[in-house]
Amino acid sequence: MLSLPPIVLLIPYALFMLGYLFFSFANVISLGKYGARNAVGLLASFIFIAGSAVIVFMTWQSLGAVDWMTPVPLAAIPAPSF
Amino acid sequence: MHQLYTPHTGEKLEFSLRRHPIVFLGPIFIFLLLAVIPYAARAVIFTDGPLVLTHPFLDIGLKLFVSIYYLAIWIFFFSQFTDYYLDINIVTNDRIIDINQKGLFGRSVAELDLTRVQDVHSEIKGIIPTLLNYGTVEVQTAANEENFNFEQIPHPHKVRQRILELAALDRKREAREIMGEAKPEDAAAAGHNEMKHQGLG
Repeated sequence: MLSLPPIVLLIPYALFMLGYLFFSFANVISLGKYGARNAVGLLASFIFIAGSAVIVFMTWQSLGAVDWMTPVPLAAIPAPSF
Repeated sequence: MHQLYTPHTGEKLEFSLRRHPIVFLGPIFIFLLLAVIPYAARAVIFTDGPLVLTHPFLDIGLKLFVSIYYLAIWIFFFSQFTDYYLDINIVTNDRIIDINQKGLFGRSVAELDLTRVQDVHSEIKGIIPTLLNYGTVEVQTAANEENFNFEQIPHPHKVRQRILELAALDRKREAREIMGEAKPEDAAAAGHNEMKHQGLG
């Protein structure tokens, strides 16, 4: 029976986060570089970073109890019943 | 504002224009709609109990997917704001600068000297634009040049009027400068001729 540790699910998540960090950086830099070095630009950047932090924190909270290293048998996944 | 353009000598900023804030309600609405979808989907799909979520692997996967989904719509929303905020039209007493942010990695800047403004056309079209007083201003230049369009800007008729006034003032100023430059040259030329006439040149 095939078993996988849940940590493998973090690989696509980490890849996404790399892209997310790149685009976030590009966004914030664009705002600062092209004329939004003012209260509005700073506030917008702050709200964006705070929002991102909240989403990541909530994800971390909801997955805090997960044992990432213990392999989970995949065959036991039930078929969805709609 | 000066970080957006380098002012010429004696150049003064008259006003800068962005699209009316009401047009940003579209992206806000889309963001809110997308933010509600996972809750609605959860309510519709798992009404009989979250059978799929009983498996730890799928439970973790779904939570990570939801996290990715919210981060994606959040950055999409912020990109929309950046696009909105960095689109700007600057009008000085000498020229018009049209800065267009095209997505995250595209940006175009065009300039037009006010003396080359031929005509300015303003238009408010639709119920909401009429109520909130926003619309389009088209600055027409020589036939073979591209016109400048300021879209969805507040008070388009006032802006048209002000651009026409500034263009007239700039033409007068340029005419004065030309006359001012021509006078010393004429005097110098006359002096030179006189010197030549006297056999000294």
